[in-house]
Amino acid sequence: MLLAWLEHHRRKVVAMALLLVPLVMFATSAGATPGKDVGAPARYAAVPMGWTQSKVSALLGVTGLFGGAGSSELRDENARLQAEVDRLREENTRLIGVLQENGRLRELVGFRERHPEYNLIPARVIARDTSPFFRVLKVEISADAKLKPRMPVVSAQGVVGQVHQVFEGYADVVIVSDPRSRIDVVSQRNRAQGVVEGLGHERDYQGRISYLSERDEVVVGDVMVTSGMGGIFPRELVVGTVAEVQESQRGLFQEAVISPSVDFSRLEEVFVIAGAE
Amino acid sequence: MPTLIVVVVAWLMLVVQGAVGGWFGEWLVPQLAISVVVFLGLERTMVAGGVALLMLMWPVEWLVGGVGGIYSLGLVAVFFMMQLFRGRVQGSWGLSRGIVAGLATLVHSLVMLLVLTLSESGERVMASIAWQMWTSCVATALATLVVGRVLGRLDRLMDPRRGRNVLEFRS
Repeated sequence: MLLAWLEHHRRKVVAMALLLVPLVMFATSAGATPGKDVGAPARYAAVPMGWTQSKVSALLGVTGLFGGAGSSELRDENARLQAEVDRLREENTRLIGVLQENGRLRELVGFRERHPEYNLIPARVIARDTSPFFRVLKVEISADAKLKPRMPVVSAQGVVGQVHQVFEGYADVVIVSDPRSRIDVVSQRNRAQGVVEGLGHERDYQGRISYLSERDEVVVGDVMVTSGMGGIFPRELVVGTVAEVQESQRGLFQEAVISPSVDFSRLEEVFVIAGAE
Repeated sequence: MPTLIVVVVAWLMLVVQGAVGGWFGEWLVPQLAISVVVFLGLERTMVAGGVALLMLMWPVEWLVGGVGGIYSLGLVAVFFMMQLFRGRVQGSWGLSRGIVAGLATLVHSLVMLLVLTLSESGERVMASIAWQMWTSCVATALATLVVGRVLGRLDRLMDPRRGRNVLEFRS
């Protein structure tokens, strides 16, 4: 009876489901605010996607572009030499990759040594979001890591962003330039306070410092660090450098453009600050 | 091509885009999810395409990492719009389908803006959408021609008689 009814009205049923599913997703989401706990089904449903992205990024990240070079119709000697060149080139590429990774890991270890008070959980960047409107990194974490939404994420260069959603072995990180991100900052030079807001557009990864008092002097090159207000980010973590100071649009405040200290396009390893001692 | 295979191929495209997307920066990002939905809307019936879209909805939301649900709602609007265009645009993946895909991208962004306006004022999210929709419309239109051709080729590989009138000898 029910099956016959569904068969008869299948177009309407599909259309209703198409409208209902996104509305349910929207109703159960955190809206335009980053940081949200997800249910158990969603935590596990992310695993196949995270696993595939992790393998693809591992494959293409270091040797993928150079691994398959070779020659086919040259003479034997030429072919042998070419194969040797290919092997050495591939080895060279791999070694450069290892050296670069070594350098990055040294920086991360240095960061960890400079901040022994933080409980740092390492994570590897495996992918980015697939829309132009948001700035989200997908990171791989160890399965036993206990992450929570809104935990701060940092790298050796400075603040990366904050955890948005946590899945089984993976997490979404909303970076500084995402339009949903807001971080309280102060100028390292004169302690002028402001709020760094992600733009999500204009020159890739830049952000805007709002609510800077007109009376405070802010100049290009000022380093902005976290103020510790808001209770999410610890104090004195570098967020970025003032790239441009703009005339006030809100009367009492001036605005500035900030270049994040982290190069998000090359980011491979990050730390999640899971707490402080 | 069976719905499940369309879903798997589309899923793989989206996952790989997420993994290598950083190579191309964040400015000119083709929205492959829209490309796939344009294909589903133009090449599949309401039921077959709708079921495939339902199966892709959660993966797409996860890969986008945006405000939950609004991206999918935009995709549904695009799917319904494509159903109206079905059979009324050029059969091959050429200029007119590219233009349709560009329009679909703009409609998708406008639906997102409308939902955000009605529900909550994510001013910066809305500014980001309004800013990026124009470049994305071009990038997505171009990507749709590629995605459409790939999926169309797979369609013909698995079902050579699809969309063609073939004389059959029946015993």
